[in-house]
Amino acid sequence: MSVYAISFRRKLMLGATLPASVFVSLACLVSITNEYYNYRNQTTAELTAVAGVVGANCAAALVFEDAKDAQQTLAALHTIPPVFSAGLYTKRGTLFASYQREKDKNPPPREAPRLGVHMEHGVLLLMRPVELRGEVVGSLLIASGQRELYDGIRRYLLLMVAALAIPAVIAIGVYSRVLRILAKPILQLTDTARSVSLTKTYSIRASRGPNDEVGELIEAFNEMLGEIETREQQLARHRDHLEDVVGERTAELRIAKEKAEEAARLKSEFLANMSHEIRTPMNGIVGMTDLALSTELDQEQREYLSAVKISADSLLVVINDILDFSKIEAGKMELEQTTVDIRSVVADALKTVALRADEKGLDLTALVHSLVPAKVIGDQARLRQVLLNLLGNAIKFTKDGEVSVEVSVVDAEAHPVRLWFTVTDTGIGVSKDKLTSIFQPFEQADGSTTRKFGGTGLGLSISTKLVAMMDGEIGVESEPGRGSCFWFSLPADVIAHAVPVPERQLEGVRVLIVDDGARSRTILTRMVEQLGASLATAAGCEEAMSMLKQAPFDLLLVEAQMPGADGFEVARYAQNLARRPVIVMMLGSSRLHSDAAECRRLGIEQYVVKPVSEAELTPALHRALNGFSNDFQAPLSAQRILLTEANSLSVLLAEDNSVNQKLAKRLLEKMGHLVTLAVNGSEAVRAHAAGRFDAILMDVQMPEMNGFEATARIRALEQRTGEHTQIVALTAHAIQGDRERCLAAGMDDYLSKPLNAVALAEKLEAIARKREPVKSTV
Amino acid sequence: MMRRAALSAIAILLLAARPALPAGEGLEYQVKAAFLFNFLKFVEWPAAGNDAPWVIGVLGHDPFGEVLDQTVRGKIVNGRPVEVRRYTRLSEVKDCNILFLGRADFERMGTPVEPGLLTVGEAPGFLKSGGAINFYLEDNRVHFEIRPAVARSVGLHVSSQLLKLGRAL
Repeated sequence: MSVYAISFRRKLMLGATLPASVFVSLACLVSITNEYYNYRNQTTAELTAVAGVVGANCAAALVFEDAKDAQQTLAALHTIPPVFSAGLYTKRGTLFASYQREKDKNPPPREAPRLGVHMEHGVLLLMRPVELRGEVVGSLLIASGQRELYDGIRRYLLLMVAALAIPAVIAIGVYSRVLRILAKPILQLTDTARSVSLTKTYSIRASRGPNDEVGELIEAFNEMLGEIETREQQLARHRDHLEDVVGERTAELRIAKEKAEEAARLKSEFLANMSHEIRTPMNGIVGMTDLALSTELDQEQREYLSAVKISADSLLVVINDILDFSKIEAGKMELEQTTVDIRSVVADALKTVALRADEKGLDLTALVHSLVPAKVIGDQARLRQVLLNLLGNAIKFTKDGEVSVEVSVVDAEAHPVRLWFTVTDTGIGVSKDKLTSIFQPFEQADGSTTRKFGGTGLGLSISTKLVAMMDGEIGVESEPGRGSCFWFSLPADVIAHAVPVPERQLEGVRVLIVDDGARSRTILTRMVEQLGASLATAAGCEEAMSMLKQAPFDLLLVEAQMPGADGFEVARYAQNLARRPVIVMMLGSSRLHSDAAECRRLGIEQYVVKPVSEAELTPALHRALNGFSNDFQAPLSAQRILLTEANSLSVLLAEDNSVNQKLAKRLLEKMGHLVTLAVNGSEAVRAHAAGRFDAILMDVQMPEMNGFEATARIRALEQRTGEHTQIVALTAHAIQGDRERCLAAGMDDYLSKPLNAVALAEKLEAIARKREPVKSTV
Repeated sequence: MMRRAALSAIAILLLAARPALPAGEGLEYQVKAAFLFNFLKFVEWPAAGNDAPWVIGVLGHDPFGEVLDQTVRGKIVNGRPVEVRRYTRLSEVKDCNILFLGRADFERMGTPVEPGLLTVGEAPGFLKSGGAINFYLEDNRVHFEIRPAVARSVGLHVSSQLLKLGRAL
């Protein structure tokens, strides 16, 4: 137990008695020690005197060698009680005579011990010389017990204890009584303080103490308690008040929150509506412009309409960006999990931007590494969107040089694999301090960039969020003025592994590649090399011509647009050679029409549109070597649509907006389908009941009866007949949930407006494939 | 170890035995010479003030030989040296403190009674003839007998201790 744990009273008690006890004990000790030495000195003196007398009496016996007499003399020591024994020694130190009080007890040693007084085993030994007329004639030893000494000390101690202990006990008793009186108020104060701190009752008061310092302390303590009590009451009042205030505020906040939620809901709804309201006319503008452009126009009209098309397309991009961003922000963007063909996504994205790149004179290339899986699970549309965003940016910020896409995979055996996409450009680059902020919404490298290059500045932000939703990462490495490299990586589950490297189908074929773009040359080289051909490359016309002069080639792969003499010059030169190689032309999108016409005029075997994908190049080379030529009749943009002509369907189109109605009708008719119109849901139900259709294109928002209800009725009717007409929803709602609502209403698929001709064609193609052999059409 | 213990045991025996076994003349007179010398200490002479040496005389036949001289040589008693004188005739005896008379000599020359002269003999009847102290042998040990009256008559005071040790007559 530490000193601090002892009670106050004990402390006082100890403080008073401990020093006193120590003092008394010390005094006793000193006194006893003193007594001991006094006694010892006295005893020694006495014994010395005795020894003197006895020695003198023995001197004669010693000299005259009368041991008997000496013995008798020594026997006189019997009268001195402490003496145990004595011994008389001759001058030579031999024992001459001895005395023992008790037999066999403390016999004197046979030989004389040294002179002086000393203690041995509690026995006082006194050794003195025996002199005779100044001459030492022998020595005398007297051994004395100390019993008397100890008895004396014991007596003395008892006396001391009696003299000190009894008063001490009395003093302690009295002191303890006094202490109790002194400590009582303090102990009471302690009890009060303890009960206050335990019960937190500040109304308790300590009882009044004596009229001294302790009393003052108690009074001060009571005052303090009073103070605390007052504060406590004030605090309680404040707390109650605060609770009221908090309650009020909470209620206000709740209302505000409800309002905010309502506002958010209204905003979402508004966005959905706006999307519909904006897309519907946009649909009309874009579609009609497309249709107008495909008619006979003079140069001026074509220019104006092209400008309208470009503006409408940009506007659509902006609107889509804003809607996408809102959707993501509202957490309403959902990813699909479907099969993705990475190579076709990349090729598709490249084709989409090819025209723009070509117009700026940029070299656009793509390289998908051979280990990249053929098919993975993912959201094809969103992946394409991210790629398009990055490609669009790259093209936008690159004045000259090249833009390239590369797809690789770190470990093709991993589950899931990690796909790496990089989009590299030779554009203005991004300064170091902007490297992270460009991924923030509404940010471009700087404010002036927005003005100079246009765009919402949402593209990267949307891409960042989409990549994050796909559990991927996105980043950029860049140096101002030296271009940028945007990358993103995605985990993906593999469905089909990479297509095996194509067989060496062109074994032994000598190919010359002519392209001014270094990167493009590299990629083409890789593709052609894989096929087993022997290769040579040329960066320009003159180089190509000299190479053709020197050695014969079987196949010439030429880039049409090159600085200086263009590819057609090389083609013409080659055509005039003795051993004329087969020629495949690579055309840019911007001058596709005229260049394709030129190819046809020159009798060039094949052309491919840049950027060239492996999937396209290989068959093109084969076709060229086997003497086939492109179908120059069909313009490329319409090719897809016309392909479906053979599978003509009977389509019911339910659409209330007259512009969209016309647009869709024209598109469908161009694809070779039969179209029946309905302007609202009830008309559609009636038409369905009256005739038989392969497909119904159902606008969701229509007056009188909307698309969902109409679909539900049609499905109800079909219950009886057991038929199932494919119903595709047309919706301007780009908001999440539409797809689910459509499917829940019994629709088979949906298309979002503005209508994409290709997407529409694909859907109808799929329906045509599923359709049973045509029995009859209306 | 054993050897040392044995040696000390023998030594102790020899030492303890010595005063009890005076074997032969030589040893007897050695003791007697010591006694003669020690008498100087237990007897008080009247003229104790002067510085002249104590004189122990041997009258007639000297049985001590060198032993007596060796015993007193270099000894100081009460600040005075001790010397041995040998006399052939009684008339030669002068300034002598203790006079030893042999067995035959006291009968032949008679025992002198002079102030300040302690006569010591070694024959029965010596005391009767007027001697003060007489040696005798008993249990192979040297003892002495004293006639304190004779000593007193010549002005000598014999210590009671000596009287206690000797057979007083």
